[in-house]
Amino acid sequence: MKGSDFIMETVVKVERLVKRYKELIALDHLELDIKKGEIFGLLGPNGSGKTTAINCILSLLTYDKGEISVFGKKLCAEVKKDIGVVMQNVAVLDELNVRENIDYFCGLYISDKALRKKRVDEAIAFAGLEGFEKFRPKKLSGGLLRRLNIACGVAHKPKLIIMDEPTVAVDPQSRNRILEGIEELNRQGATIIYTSHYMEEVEQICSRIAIIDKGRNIAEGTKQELKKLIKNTETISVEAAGLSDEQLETSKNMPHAYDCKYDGKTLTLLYSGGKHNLTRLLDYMHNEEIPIGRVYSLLPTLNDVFLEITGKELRD
Amino acid sequence: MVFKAYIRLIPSYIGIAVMYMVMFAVLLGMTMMGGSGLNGSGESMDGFVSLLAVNDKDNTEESRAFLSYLENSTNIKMADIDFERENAVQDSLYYRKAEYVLTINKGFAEMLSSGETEKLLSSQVIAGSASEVFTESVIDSYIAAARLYIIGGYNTAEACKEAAKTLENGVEVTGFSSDNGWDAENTGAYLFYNFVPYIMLMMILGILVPTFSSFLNEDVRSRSFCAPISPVKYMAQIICGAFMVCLVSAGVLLLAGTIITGGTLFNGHCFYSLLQMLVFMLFSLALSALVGILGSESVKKANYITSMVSNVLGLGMAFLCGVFVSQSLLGENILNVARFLPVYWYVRGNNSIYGADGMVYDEGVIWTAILIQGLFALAMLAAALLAAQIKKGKGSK
Repeated sequence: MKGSDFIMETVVKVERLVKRYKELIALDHLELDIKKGEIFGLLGPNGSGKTTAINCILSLLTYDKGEISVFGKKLCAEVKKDIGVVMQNVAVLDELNVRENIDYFCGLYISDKALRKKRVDEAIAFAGLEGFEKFRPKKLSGGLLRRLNIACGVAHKPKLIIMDEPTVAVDPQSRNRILEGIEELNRQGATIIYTSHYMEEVEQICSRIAIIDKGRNIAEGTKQELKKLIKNTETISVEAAGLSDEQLETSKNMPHAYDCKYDGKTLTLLYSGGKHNLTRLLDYMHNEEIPIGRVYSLLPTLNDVFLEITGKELRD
Repeated sequence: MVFKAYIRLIPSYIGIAVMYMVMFAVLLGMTMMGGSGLNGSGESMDGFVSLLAVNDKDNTEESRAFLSYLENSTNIKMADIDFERENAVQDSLYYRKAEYVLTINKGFAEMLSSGETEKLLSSQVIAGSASEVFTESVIDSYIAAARLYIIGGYNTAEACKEAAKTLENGVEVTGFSSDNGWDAENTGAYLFYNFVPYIMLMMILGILVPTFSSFLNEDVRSRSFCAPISPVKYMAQIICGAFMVCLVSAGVLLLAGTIITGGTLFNGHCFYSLLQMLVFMLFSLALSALVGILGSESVKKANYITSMVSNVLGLGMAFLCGVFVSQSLLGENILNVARFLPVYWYVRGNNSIYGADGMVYDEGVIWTAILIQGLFALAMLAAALLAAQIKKGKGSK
């Protein structure tokens, strides 16, 4: 169950947030409205202001202008009890083992020893760290370390979980496990703010996404809504060597095609709307007896959205 | 919770403390075994014997009195040599039958009377031997005493007898430090407290710097501040933990010291010794905090810094300030530099408490030393807070 199924109650509201580092404007009137039950993705390239925004929400950074409220209040000890944080850098104590680390961070929220033990056990199971309880962080692999970092952040069962690039430098297997875990936490009722510069992750798990660039929220919505913001709806590539000028011209003028590229081997057509674009193109090539190789039909990605809005790649 | 977690970190670094504890026990034990009195005044020549052969060419009442004095000296054993035989002196020295061969020259009595002491005696010795140093010291004392009596109006023969008597009886000196048997009984305690600044600094730095670094590391600190705990409470719990570690370290040191020194640590003016120890402990705590904060970028870096700083500061201050070498033996330039270090004041206070190293018990000196150490601790604390503030400023930009 994703956020859209819940009553749209605001959990985090950021209004006109401005943060400056001397001359550099890290956050430029940033606006965010995160609803209960969402997995809200903050997507942007490195240095776009995602972590700064998170740190401002958590009061780890002061800001120059704007308003931030969490659960309708300014951040205070009472509100902090319901927030779980998974930092971009692994924040654990090297001298403590896995269980002791989770117990320490959980203990900052829960003083009841019995309840804490239960929560720590649950967190170990959730993160798949069974068998590693006595291991110190230095003995863990990168993926397990990230999972420990997550376990430390969510052990106290918070209502809001803020995850700042939790899958950085993690192998694909561990990444999938982490993403599944995040979806599980959301199913259990937690609202999640998830920052990443990996568009695939954000597309995979987030119910709503804000694209940030240069500290500004340049687009916000579901992935479908975001993709509707751009002209491109489909990109078709066909390996077809030796097209004549006439055939190329006909291809360019296919219904809904608005751009065409041909390098002598591969024809690439960009479409805006329309149905059966691929069938129509292949039928034409068949009728013209043009020999074809591999055929690709690609739907637009968030990178295309970012590219069209900002003129640069997400991973530039 | 922070306090509990902090304490949980300690076993990871206890090995360093144990290592210094063992080093301390060995150092203290060995120093005590080979130790002298607090002022070196208890140095004894017991068991030492100088083999002396005397050829009395003057053979007067005065020369015989001098010979008698030498024969009666506790640490001199007379060797019998046939001076008539050729090469007898060389042979006896070669075969170690005698270590010091003294000739009382003809005219000894007259020359002693007139003060021409340069040609009174001649000698052949094993150069650089302890016998040379010791015997010449005995002879010089006698000649000086006899000359004193002659100048005072005694005739030469009487002067020689009186000089012998005077030197046999010795001179009674009442020193400040030897009051109430303070000197002899408290050598172990003095040595213990003298080593404390070195050992305590090394132990505390070894444990506290890496633990401070772990907790003040920006990632862990930021993550902890996301929880409902204020920075003040967080720091207070860490400092409480560190203070407890210091107290336990001091307690263990005192316990070991009590065992090694046979329970003399709490005699006499131990209040001042313990107060000094406490103040120096606070200085070590503040220094650890400063180094820990500076090294908190990463624990690896902190461990490297700990090792470097511990050795440079611990050993450097110990050598410069008189822990291993008495302050009285250090050069003026070194002492001028050492005055800017707390260990100098600690050692100075300790010397005064025990009337050691040429100092006398003086409460004014002791309190001054303690206060200056306190100021060093405060200065270090201020530096640590400043470093924390600068780091916080960098982190919250």
